[in-house]
Order: sequence, then C-alpha cells, then structure tokens
Amino acid sequence: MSTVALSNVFKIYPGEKGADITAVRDFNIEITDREFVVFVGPSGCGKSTTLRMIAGLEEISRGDISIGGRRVNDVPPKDRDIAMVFQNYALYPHMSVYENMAFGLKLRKFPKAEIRKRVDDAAGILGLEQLLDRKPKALSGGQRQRVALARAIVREPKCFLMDEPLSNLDATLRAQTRADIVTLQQQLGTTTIYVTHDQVEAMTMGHRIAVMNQGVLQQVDTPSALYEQPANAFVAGFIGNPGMNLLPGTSKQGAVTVGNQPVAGAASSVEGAVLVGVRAEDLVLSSTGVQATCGAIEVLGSEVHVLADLDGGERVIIRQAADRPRPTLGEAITLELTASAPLLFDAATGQRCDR
Amino acid sequence: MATEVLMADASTPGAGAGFERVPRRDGTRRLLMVLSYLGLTVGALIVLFPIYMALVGSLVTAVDLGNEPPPFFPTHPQWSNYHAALFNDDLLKFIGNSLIQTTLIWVGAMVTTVLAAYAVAMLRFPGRTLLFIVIIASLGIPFEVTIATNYNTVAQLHMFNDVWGLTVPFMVSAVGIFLLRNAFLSIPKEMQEAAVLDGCGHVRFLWRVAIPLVRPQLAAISVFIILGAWNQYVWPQLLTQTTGANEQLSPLQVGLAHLYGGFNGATIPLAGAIIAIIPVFILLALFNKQLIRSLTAGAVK
Repeated sequence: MSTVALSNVFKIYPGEKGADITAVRDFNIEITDREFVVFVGPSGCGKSTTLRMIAGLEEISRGDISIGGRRVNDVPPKDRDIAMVFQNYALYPHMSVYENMAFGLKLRKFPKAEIRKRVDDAAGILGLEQLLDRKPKALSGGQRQRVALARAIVREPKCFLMDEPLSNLDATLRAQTRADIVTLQQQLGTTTIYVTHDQVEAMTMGHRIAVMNQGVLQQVDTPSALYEQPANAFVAGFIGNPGMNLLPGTSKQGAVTVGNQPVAGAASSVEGAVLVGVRAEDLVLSSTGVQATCGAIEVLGSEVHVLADLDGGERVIIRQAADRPRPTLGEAITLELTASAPLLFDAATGQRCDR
Repeated sequence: MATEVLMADASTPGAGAGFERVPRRDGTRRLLMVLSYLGLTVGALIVLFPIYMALVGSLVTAVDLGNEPPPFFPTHPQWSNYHAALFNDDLLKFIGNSLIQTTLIWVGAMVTTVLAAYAVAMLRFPGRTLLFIVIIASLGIPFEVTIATNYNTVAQLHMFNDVWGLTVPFMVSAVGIFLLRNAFLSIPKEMQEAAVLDGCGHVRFLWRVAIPLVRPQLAAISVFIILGAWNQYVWPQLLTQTTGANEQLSPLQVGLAHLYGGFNGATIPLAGAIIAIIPVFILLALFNKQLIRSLTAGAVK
C-alpha cells in the first residue's frame, strides 16, 4: 500500500519582525495507492512547497505527512522511499546516462547484477537503450527528461513526485511526453503526485486534481467534477480553457439578475451581490440580454473567442463556431446566457451559493 | 619570472575579446586588431627578453658573458654549464627537495581549500559570512607581513628542522577558497537535492558530485598553488639559511644561490635558473586553458 496522506500540514517561513509568511495553510489530502494526483495553481500558490515537504526537502512547520502508512515527518529524504523528477532534470553532467540512473542504487548498495537489470528495464520502457553511454550534454531536452524519469523508476519507489517536469520542453514534445507519463504511470501503478501550473496538463493527466491558491487547498476532485462543479469562484475561473466567465449579478429573494436581465434557472441561497458562472460556450451573441462591448477577437481555427467588456469593466469570453457572424471591435453587443442552470458564487466569499 | 609569463598569457584573450565586442566599421576594427596585437607582442617581448638573455647567458662562457655588449646569441653553446649546474653543485638534491615540498604543499592546500570552500558555499552555520569575509580579507595581507608571526609559530612548534616548517604555513589558499566557493555555488540547487534523494550526505555529495563538477577550477587552483610553492624563496631562505637549521632541506630556488661564486661567474647559476623554470613552463603549457577559464569565469557571469 502506497498511500500518501497529509493532515493539517502548514509551512510557515519566519518573516522579518515576527511577520511570518504562511506558504501552505492547513493542507489535508489522502492520496490512495496507484493514484495520479495533480497539484495545480498559479505560481506562488504553495504547490511546489507541498511537494517538497512530501519529499523531505522542506521541513514541515505543523501537521503530519505519512507515506505508505508510516509517518515521515522526521524521516530523511533518502529513506522516504520516494523518487522525484525536477523541472530542470537535475542530471549529473559528469556521469553517463547509465551512471545517472544507477547512482541511487549504487549508494544503496544494490548488487551489480540487480542494478544492471533495473537500469536496462527502465531504459527499455523509456526507449533509452541506445543512449546509456552518453553524457547528458549530448542529449536533447526530451531525452534528458526521459533520463530523469528513468532515474526515478529504477528506484521502484512507493511514490513519484514530479515538479513541473514538462515546463522546459517545447509544445509538441510536451504533449507527447504528457501522454508518455500517463501511460508509464498506468503501467507501473506507482502513486504519483505531479505539480504543474498548467491546467491543461492537470485536466489531461490526473485521476484527481488538487487546486491550490495562496497556500490553501481549494478543491480536490476529478477533472470533470472540477470543471462542472467548481467549489468556488477561484476554481471556476482557473479550471477550463478558457476559465469560467464570472458575471457580476444581484440576488433578490433568490432570483438573480445580471445587468437588470433576469438569469433563467438561477436560484441563490444568499442575498445581495453574486457572481454568475457561465462557460464560454454558454454565452451567445443575441438581440436581447446583457450589454457589452466587443474588446477583442481571437481566431483559433475551428472556433472564435469573442472577448467582451461588460459595462462594469469585467471581461468575459464567448466561444462560437468560426462560421458564425462576428462583431467588429468596439461594437456594442448583447449577450444571452444559455446555460440551463448557471452556477452562482457569493461575491463576498467566492463560495458556491446556488445549492 | 614565471609569474610574469603567466600574466602575459592570461591577458591575451581578454584584450582581444574587448575590441571584438565593439561594433565598428571593418577598417577601424582591423586597425584596432592590428594595434592590439602589436601592443601584446611588444608586451610579450618585454616579458620574454630577460628569460631569453638568461638562456643565452647559460649557454656561453664566463668570458663571453663579461663582454660589452653581452652576446645575443650563443654561437658555441656551452652545454657543460648545464652539466656543471646539475652534477657539481647538488642541484639535483635541491630539485628533489622542491618536488617533495611542492607536492606536500599542493596536497595539503587542496584538502583544506576544498573543505573550506565547501563549508562556506554549502553549509549553513552562524558566522558563515563573517568567516568568508575574513578569508577574503586575508588576501589583502602581503606575505611579508605575516613572516614574523609565522616564524614564531613555527619556532614554538619546533618545526625549524624538518620539512613541515617549510610546508605547513602554505597549506591553504585563500584565492583557491574564493574561486572554489563560487564554483560550488554555481552547482544547481536541484542537483544537490537530487543527490540528497539518491542518498548522498555532504561527504558523498562533495566527493561524487561536487568535486567532479569543479575539476577545471581545481586544476587552475592547483597550478596557482604549485607555482607558488615551486617559486618559494624568502621563507625557505629564512628557515634554512639564517636559523642555522638543516641546510639539507633547501629547495631549488634557495639552492640556486649556492651556484654563485667560482670561476664561471653567472653562467652556471643561469643554467640552474633555466632548469628551475622548465617545470613551470610544462605546467603552464598543460593547464593554460583551465587557468584562463578560471580567471575569466567570474568576469563574464
């Protein structure tokens, strides 16, 4: 069993004059055996810090971390039975690919034959057989990243920790390696925690996604649940490409209006200012509805994004097919909300308020 | 002498690169190139001239050397001067002493320098910055200032009569610590973390990862230390000659003084001096590239 559990984990950096900086606040998650969990959030949200606490590279200020049922707070990194893949690969430049992969096993005094076998197996899985004698500098970025992955899998750890491993690759290679990592994880069945700021990576790779913001875990759920039922306005705006539009509205006795237009199918549990969450495909240009101005148009081939500015200055995105008529820049337009049940968020707290 | 050669070599690429970086029209650029090479050539000639004259002096007779003006070319090379220097005057023994003392200083200085540089670069302890500042500040103290205290220390430790008195005071290099600290700091943090996860403690990380990564800097520092040790004069002179201590320990540079006197005037001492700089030339020829790289590395970053 290789579960990873974090309970009430804090990371607090001592600041000047007692003004401590809380990088991670009261983080709780239970990651089950063989699960692929992605930590996602904007930069500085604490996702890498959390991963590094699991690895043992950062001390835990408060709370408990356990791996495979064992509390590891005071276990040194090398004894936690984890392997980590870094963004910049962190390969040893003076060692060959073989030596890079074998180094950790050598230090753990594995027999030579066993090391040979494990390295050969890992090289076979990642297609590195021809490169074992090369030094890292003679490899391409993609090859280096595969060596970094291979170095992790030879250890046969309880858990893989990956810190933005694809960020240094170009777009094509990134998409390909993304798929490779998913396949590899399925093949090996090793519990994996993957950190990224790219929500497309998160959506396509994880069994579950943990969305973080400002050191706080916002929501943990499957990609489709996050997309369809975000717990708060931050998750709604962060997940999805583009993120969910959040239109400022008002709730009076449960009925919601946006710019004096009633929103069909919306029922709020709070009174006053609310945010109405609508996906870009659920907004259409129409003759009646919310007033806006066309601010920009992005042509993406099969579809077009119309960026519209509401009267209050908020920008929303309308996704429409490429063959639909497009407004011109600066033209006054009206938007109709076609979602059958738009999501509602309390404008003050950002929490869902439609249930 | 040897140090001057080193400086002339090291300045060559720096000066050339400086001109190349300035965008100018082709004609002006070429003229500047010619002028800079001309300047460098003149500089090199000035540095090399005394060495050449020593070489000539070592290959002529004492009578010829006494002529005005002195000969500029050895028409009948007197190789016997070299034979005399090597075999009649114990020069071989002094060379042996120098080899032993230089090796001891080199090994000792490398050990302390690597450990100290690693500590100030990689370990966190109270007073780390202060320690580093003290090390850097010691660079500004000329050796002559420390002679008296070193002399007392060596006397109190009863090291006058053995090789340790000649070597231990030089078994550390502040320049080396400075260069190596910067080299250690340039190792990416992630690589250190990867090593920690692979199971390295500080000792293993230093030995298996950090040292192999800073080999060029280690080579450069070695050259500095070896040159310094080989060319030592004042300290061994003080210890082996003025204290009445064991003259058998004299290194080469001190031993060269023994060659003076006798009928041959300066020719045999000059032959000895030429012999003394041969190892220096070999060392510089082998490690020229690393030396220049380490000197310019800090400047570019």
